[in-house]
Amino acid sequence: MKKGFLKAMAALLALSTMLSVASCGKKDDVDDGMIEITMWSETNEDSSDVEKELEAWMDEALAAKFPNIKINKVIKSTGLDYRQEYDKALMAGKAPDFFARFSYTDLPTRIENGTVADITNLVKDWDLKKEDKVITVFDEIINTNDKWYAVPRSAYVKSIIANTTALKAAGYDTSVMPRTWDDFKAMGKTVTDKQNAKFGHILMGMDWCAWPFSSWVWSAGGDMVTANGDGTYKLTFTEDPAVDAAMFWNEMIWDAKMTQTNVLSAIDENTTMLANGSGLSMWGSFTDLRPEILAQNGLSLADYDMFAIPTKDASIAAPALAGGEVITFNPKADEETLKAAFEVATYLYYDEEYLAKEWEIRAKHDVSNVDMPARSDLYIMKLDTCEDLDDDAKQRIVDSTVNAIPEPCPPHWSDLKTLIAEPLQKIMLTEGISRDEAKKLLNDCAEELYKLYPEAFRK
Amino acid sequence: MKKIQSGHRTEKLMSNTKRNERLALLFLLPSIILFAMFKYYPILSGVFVSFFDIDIVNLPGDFCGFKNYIRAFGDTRFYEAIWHNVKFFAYSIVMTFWQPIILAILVNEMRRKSKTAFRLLYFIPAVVPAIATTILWKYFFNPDYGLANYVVQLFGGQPQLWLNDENWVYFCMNFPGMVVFGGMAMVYYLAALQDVPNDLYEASMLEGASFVQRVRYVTLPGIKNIVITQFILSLTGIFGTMENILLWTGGGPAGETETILVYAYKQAINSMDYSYAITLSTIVFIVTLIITYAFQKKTQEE
Repeated sequence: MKKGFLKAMAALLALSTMLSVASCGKKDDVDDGMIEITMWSETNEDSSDVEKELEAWMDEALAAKFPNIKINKVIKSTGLDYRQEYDKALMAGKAPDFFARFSYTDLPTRIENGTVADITNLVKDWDLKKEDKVITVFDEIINTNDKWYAVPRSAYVKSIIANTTALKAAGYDTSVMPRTWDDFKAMGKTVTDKQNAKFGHILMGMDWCAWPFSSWVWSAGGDMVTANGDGTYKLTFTEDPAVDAAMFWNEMIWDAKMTQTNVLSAIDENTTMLANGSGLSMWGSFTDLRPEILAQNGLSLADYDMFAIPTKDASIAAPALAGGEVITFNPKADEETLKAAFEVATYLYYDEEYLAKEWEIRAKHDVSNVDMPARSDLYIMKLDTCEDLDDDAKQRIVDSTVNAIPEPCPPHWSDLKTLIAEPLQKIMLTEGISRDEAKKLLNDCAEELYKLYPEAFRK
Repeated sequence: MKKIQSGHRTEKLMSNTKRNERLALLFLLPSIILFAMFKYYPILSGVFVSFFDIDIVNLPGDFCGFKNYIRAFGDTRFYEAIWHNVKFFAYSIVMTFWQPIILAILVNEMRRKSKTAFRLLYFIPAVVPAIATTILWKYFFNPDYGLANYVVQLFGGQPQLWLNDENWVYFCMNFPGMVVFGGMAMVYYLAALQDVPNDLYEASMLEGASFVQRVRYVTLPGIKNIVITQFILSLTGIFGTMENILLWTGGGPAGETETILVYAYKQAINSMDYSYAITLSTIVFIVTLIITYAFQKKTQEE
């Protein structure tokens, strides 16, 4: 019996070894002088017409621009699982040589665990950077210890997006948008009609709620964390401004009754409610308005406008939150491959001619997006291709970028966001919760974080 | 002479048996290989890498012994997550486990044509993709415009937060299983009921046993094995559930439905702490293995 068992285990071990060896990736041999790089594409036969047209244009442009680079394009619909898919591919030795999906907030962890390549030499030799044509909003994070680990792909600004057409229809004067929390609640009370599923504000209370919450803490004059100056951070979400912000969320739900009751709804449900006219305002950006849902509901970008997050009192300046994605490179790629991948990636996201054509195609199909491109000098040109927005709205978008600041991302920021979601949801969902109870929940969360990650958080 | 002939016959029988065994093994080989590739290889790999601080660029990383296990057993969230699994199991037993048994017994009492119709009626929802039905049920429990609050108010009740309420969330997630699903389990029970000897029913009827007594003393003992199997499957299924919870609640409200695998998933995806996530999954595997073994042993003894 024992012998049989040992034999079976030995056979399994041998099979495991064979599978491990077999799973090791090996690049195909490439003709002399050609460098092969791998990139991922999300476009497949089920993609929209505009995506297919953009893909065809990309293939054509890349073939013409880089005759010496063989691009091995892998169709990969990663969706919201892109982190998981990338890491799986990296483990299997099949990761793309450049990847343009990670949020800049992922970078501190990825720099620490070596899952992104050091591209310092390439960035230092990069003309566009020398000419100051690259957005710098993420530089503090992607340039760590004098080394570069990514280049920006695009940026967006999150503040309050409002369906002004619906607000007007509900009797609200949109010429003066709410400036303070009190104004905002007054607006919410005026326009909310729960019987007909019209909500003055769509609250983002899902498990990623720390993300919008950061902005609301700023709007109370506080911050989620502050640097101690020695690489560690103090958790300041236990202080009065953060408690005020959490209580304001609770008041929006239970006192003003201006939000959806289903405040834990997923982000997709929230953006759908904003784009189908059910939600009249939401913390977000124009990018959250999916063209296909707008079209299904007879709406367009022209029905929406963007305004600053209301603040606790008028003396507080509320900065918008800058978000965005960066382009990272395969840490396993050799120097030549990295150089080729860098050239291709920067062509796709920085070349003026290429981008102009891309925006033209999007405008033709009525799916313009107003995210800030990585080329700071081309933003106006991009907005000009968007015919749905008038000049005032475009100007407001550009203005909002001036005071936009990136989300804080100290080490273990993701862990912080995961853990704080729990007390925030408790505060949101408890009708009549006292300020002391709310403060205690946030304090308990902070104590847990101090205990779990002493290398990142210190009082 | 007869002895020699019988000896030959035995030898022939033995060699036939051996040949059949070999043949069976040959036919089983493809499935054994696939099982080894897609089941045992990942499991063994998981156990192996749980002893490492994984470096996904240069696998497997640094050997760290039992560090990840020590961390898990000192982690309060780990115990909370297990407690959530236990709650899930308790709710599923109370709300969904007994219903297919009763259904099967009732359907079994019907005439042949009605039996087929009811069997089909209850089975159809079991083949509808879980994602589609979960989304529909989420709409049902939506506190803003869901049907659940409408029905409650119709009977004079107060609207509830349902999935957003820690006190209701487990009930809501098990409710579809109670009222609609369970068709698959019912089919198993119905099949088991066909094996309960008719003589026993006839004898009990002659003795004047009521319907309830027949169920208590004939039917239930007759299908005991399949009930135990279903019980074990429910238990192991609850420990292995993740996608369903992510779809229903994402682990909320306020972490109330964060089960052990959801916790492991969040550790992997949100924190990129793959070593710890794999360790948690390995612990789940070991726990379910022990539970299954214990139940099987107990059943065999009985």
